[in-house]
Amino acid sequence: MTQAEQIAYVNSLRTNFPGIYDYYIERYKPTWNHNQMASHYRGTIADILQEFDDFAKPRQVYEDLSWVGLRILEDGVTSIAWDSLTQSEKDNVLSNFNTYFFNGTSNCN
Amino acid sequence: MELQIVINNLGMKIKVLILMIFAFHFLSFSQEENNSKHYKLYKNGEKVPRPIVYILNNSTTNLQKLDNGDIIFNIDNQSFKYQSNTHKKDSLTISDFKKIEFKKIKELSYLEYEEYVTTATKIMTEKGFKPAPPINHSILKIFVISKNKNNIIRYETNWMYSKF
Repeated sequence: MTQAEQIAYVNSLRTNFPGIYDYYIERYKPTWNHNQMASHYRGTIADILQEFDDFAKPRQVYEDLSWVGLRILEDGVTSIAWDSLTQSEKDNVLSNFNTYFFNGTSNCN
Repeated sequence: MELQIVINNLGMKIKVLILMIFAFHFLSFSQEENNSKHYKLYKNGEKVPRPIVYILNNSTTNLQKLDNGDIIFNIDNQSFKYQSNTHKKDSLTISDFKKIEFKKIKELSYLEYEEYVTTATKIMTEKGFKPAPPINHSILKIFVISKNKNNIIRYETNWMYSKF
């Protein structure tokens, strides 16, 4: 893109996709994409998990499991969104990790 | 009336989505102007030499040889592709090998980030605008050094993507 096209592109991001703009432009760093997903796409991940699991568990379980790949990022540092949780919220998420992710039943062969 | 508003909103979102798809397409297209020696952060922008980085592959199990002669190196959750029709490949002596300063895979993202920040800051100073970061790994020039006993080969590669 030319300089003018890039300016229009960034302005469009700012207006229409503020979440992407925030992490991709304003707070850009190597882990921007997973930080952005942690802040803005956990609901979508929870939706997918819930549907895949036929809505078998309470919604909170899927929302907690959506943190699995978004809590500690590739640089070994916790995501910005994770750091904003209270200790109680973190404990609940980690508890559901242990119950359903690390020790849950598996039908996979 | 409410239905009309919902439809209008939906139409607007679809238009914005199409705009975004085109924007990403053109951003990728402009980055295709990059070659093996230089990169640009925007079309018609200044050509900047790509910093050369060497990484070591001392295993034969994490590479994938394709029928067309291309090779994909999967090292520490990153993929690098040697394209036989465009990339160079040559042998190195032990002496050459010992002179190479290798980088760890974990360092690559930060080297790429620092190079982007340096160039973007320079453009900001000179042109008054900050170009968006590349959406692919077009800044660093990565050479994979494949070592199997005394057989040492240097492959020019493209840094393809990361796996998590």
